[in-house]
Amino acid sequence: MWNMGEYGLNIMPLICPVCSNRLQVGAQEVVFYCRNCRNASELSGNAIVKREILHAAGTGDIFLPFWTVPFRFAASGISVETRRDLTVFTGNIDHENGSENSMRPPVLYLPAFQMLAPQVIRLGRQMTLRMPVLQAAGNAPKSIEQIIISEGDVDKMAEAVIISATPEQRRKDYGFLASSTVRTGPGRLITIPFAKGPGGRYYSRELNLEF
Amino acid sequence: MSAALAIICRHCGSPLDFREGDRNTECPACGLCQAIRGDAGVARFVVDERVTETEARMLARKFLAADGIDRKVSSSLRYSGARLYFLPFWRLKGLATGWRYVEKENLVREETVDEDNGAKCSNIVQGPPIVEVESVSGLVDYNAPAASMAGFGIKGIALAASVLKLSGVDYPEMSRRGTVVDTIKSEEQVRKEAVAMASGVRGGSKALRSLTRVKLSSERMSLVYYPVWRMEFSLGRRVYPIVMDAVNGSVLKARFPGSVAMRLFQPLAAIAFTVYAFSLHKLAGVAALALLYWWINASMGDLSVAALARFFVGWLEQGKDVEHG
Repeated sequence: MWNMGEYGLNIMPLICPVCSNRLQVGAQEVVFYCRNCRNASELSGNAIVKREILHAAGTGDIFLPFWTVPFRFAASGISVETRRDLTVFTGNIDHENGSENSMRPPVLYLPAFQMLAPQVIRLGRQMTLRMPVLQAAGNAPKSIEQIIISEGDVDKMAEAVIISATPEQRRKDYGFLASSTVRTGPGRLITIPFAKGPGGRYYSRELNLEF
Repeated sequence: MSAALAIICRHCGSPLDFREGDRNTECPACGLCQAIRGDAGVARFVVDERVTETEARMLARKFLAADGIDRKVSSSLRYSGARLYFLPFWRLKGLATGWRYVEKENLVREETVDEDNGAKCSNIVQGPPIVEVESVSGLVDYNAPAASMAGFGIKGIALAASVLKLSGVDYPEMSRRGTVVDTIKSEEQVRKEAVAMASGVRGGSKALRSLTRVKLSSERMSLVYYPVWRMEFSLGRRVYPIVMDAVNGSVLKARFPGSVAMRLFQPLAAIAFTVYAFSLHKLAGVAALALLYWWINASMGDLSVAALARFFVGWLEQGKDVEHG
């Protein structure tokens, strides 16, 4: 690393910490994916360190990255601590009723790739409410979409996603909104394969989701 | 010589093509991608000055030759000197997300019918409030002066930092060449302002109560120093400053005396006209006198003794100062 601290700038060459290959990155990327060894890395202080990334199995050749973080939501008289609580709170159909999974913390999904700001919230809400069950892929993809949202940003955007997933009747309650709090846990980075359909829309058969 | 430090490739030493707000860049010569980060998350840049002092002085003289500024004054103005200033501006880019709750007053017309005589009566009453909850999500691109610009007479500069060539700051070199203006606005204050701007309107005057929670993510904050020339011209004991953009040479702020007009024959003509009108007819004289009063009032502002003295004795009329910016 070449430090230009006296001028207030640090310039760091982007080299994969796993295979030492040169990384090809976009101007806004925060997590870098190595096409050579198919590992992800990110800046941590003044060093580049490996970042765990999981790949979901499915049909499609475009691998879209998402952050997944466990969360807890609380507001006046309401506490959402499990997937079952979330299902009851949002009025969704509970597919995991009684299973071990239903007692796990709910997971927030947030797109980590480049999207228009309102779409980030909308897709995050859709994925969070669906609580998809994902299978791990056998191989890591050669390339993935650029990751431009960092883990630190997930916490800042979590409340907007969760409030948008709240039933309208609750959302129009001043006391409920004023007392609402969201706490998030450590994030995990995953990619989900999508196919690009006509009109530039992404589609996942496994998730039955199009956007 | 530039006050700036070129941002160069770690590998081959070529200058990097870097735009403000970018996190990474690729060397155009060797293709090595590099991350660029500022200390404590704030990148500091300076925009290179393109206008030299000589050019600035020439452009200022050209400006002085413009219409509205007294030619004699402008040609007798003496150039006192110039100083380069680096004005700091905060730049904040990011994504604002959150929600906004607004409860609005709801006035409804209520009609009642008198059962005895069947007369209808309508009243405006307070209905259940209208509640609006919406998601806030949008890109933030905020630009604010980081110091007081009052000394320069400007409120700000439309900073197109994304298209300007930026360099790393070198404070000792910048200080040798000019004055680096200290920042007085904190990063936190800038964040608050940007979030407040992104939060938008709160329902206007009909809002009974509102609640907004907006957070900023994907934040890229930078401090950009923009060069301006502050030149001084003097005439007698008066000093006339010009603030000029040192990148494109446009005058940002200036104030100069307006044209001077001679009014030597004006009072004489007025008196002669009034006397002539009286010689024709008494009524014509009175009308001419009324016209004269109106003229003095319109040109001098009032009919006080001082104003009348200025009208009849003052030979030279000083035009209003010409202000720019």
